[in-house]
Amino acid sequence: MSKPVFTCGIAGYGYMGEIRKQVIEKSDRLELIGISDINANTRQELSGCAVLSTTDALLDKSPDIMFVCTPNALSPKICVEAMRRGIHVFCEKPPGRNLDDIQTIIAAERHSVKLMFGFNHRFHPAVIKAKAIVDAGRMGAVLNLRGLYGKSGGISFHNSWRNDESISGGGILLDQGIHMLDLFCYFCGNFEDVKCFSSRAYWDFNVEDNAYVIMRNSTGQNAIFHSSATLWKHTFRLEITLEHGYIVVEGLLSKSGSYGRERLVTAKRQFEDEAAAVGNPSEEVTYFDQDLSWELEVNELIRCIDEDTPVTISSSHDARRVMEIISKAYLDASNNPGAA
Amino acid sequence: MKSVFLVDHYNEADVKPAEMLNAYVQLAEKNVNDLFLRDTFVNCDCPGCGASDRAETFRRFNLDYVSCPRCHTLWVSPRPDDESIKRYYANSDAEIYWREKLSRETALARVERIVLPRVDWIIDSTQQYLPDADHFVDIGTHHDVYARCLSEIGRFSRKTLLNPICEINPGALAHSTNIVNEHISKAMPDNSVDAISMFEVLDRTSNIDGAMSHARRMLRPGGLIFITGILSTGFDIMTLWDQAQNIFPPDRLNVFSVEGLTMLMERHGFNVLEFSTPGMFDTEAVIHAVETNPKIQVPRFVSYMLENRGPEGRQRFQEFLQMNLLSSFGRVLAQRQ
Ligand SMILES: [Zn+2]
Repeated sequence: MSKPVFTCGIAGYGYMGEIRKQVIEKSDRLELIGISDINANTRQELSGCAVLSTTDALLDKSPDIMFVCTPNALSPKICVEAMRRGIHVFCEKPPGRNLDDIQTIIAAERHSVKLMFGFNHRFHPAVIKAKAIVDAGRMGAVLNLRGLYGKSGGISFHNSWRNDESISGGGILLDQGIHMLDLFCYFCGNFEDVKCFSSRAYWDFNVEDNAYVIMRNSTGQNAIFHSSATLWKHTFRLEITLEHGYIVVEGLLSKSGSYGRERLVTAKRQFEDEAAAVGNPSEEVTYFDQDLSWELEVNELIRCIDEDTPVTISSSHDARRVMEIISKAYLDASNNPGAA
Repeated sequence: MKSVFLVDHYNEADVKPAEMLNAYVQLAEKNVNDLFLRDTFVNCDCPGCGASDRAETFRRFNLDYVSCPRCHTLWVSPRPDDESIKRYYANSDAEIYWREKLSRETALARVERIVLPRVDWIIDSTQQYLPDADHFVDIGTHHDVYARCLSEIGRFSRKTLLNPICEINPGALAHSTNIVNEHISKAMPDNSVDAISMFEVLDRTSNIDGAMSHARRMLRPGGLIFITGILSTGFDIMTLWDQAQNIFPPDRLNVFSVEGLTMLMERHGFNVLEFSTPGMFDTEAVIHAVETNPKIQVPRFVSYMLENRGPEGRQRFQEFLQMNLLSSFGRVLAQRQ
């Protein structure tokens, strides 16, 4: 028996809406029935499905799954309304502007609908492999994490809603850094203690362009993260130190390729009888050539709908947890002199 | 798909000391001439892509290597059948020398450099692709120290060593391990195995298609197969060709190319998840060959590079080979469709 095809709507046709359209069109389990966008020029470029000017009109078409790809300020309302109508929701990150927004979304969650968020970095091939190595247990427990994630901004950076606090709710930490913080939680559970400095070092807008976050959790694991919009060379680097070795995820397969070839470095620590090799162990480097993260995360949502099981990866629980960290970071940064 | 390379610092001599290797090769040559009966030899098409075209290349130990114009695989044809090969590995002086001298004296280095990294590879990949895997089968393991390490992999609750070439003391193995000495065609029910390893086994298998179809048969759908072997497309093999010291029967009856091994997996219903050439000895092998036999001619560029770029340059060149699937040691992880 062939499996059912789910109809889909996309709210907001920006950068992410376009990616979601491609993923839906490639899947034999999904059918795109409509896209809504507020911008008339954008709507004119679209064809092949219903093109609508409001999300309500799209919701009236009763898709099985709604992909919410709108700016942060608009996402919560759309998620809530979709779930009220019994429509499954896939919402891009960040899950709203702040903790209140994600709590509003969670309050509308109900058993019969699935709600998943777009933390696609969990589905990047090097991260999947890193997670498997950590879970396999041969390297022991995770001691600490270090992350660096940043970009350089660009010509359109000033005009982007992402840097308008009233719409986005925050700067680079919320927009891009959220992925790294989500990965930190993916590997270590949660971080309750959060310290942060932030700055508006270069770009002239009302949100931070750099954030420096230090965290600790109840099991004693520590993490340190620099999120930046002034990394003139685009960089993604996640270092995981374990009892018996280390793992580094570096580079990210992306549309532009600007973060470099995605690779995973693993090594076991060497102490004994290896005078020449102390502190410089043999490394194994894995290169990845294919990014299926967009497809894999949507397939995970489809699986949850098929089997009627709760969403456990990139769930609302994960979203709230990472928004709590960001909220604590912003609060701590605002208490520091010179902070954004 | 993904590929792996290694940054490591050890020499081939750590795991195959030159003197012992020479003694082994000499014994092998004598044994091959004495033990294999030519009237039982079978003709064989390309074990990689299956094509019947072939080009003559060179003879080793009085057996003919041919190469495939389509996929660059190198193989012996005509060749002894699997029954004769099994007898060879059970009785030959060469094999006894390998087991009792070479393998034992290098056991520590072999465990650390070869065996444990492969065990880690199996553990990590199984966790990633088949976390509920339960039954692991190694086919044709060559060393008792290897068998012991495989038997100790804690993540599988059942382990089977199928047709081990060496004699294994069952008492030395973990309790959850069985030794089965049945022909691959009869061993293991269909769909009963989660993961298989075949380390340098395809290299010395006569009936390749038979071995692959039985490996597939016993694996459950989605089951994993871990394969290693020597590749014809590696730098040292391509450069040294008929002078390559490690290409001789029956250890290297089949020397697949990257493309040939991929095609073999695909035509037997496997999806290749990872293909790497994490070999470390290509450059060293060419240097060693040229030093020990000045008559060997290598391309001018290779000779210049090896003479003038020092150990660091050679190490970087080896890493380049690894990163571009150009080393002669291959490692493949595939999944039954
Ligand atoms: Zn061929």
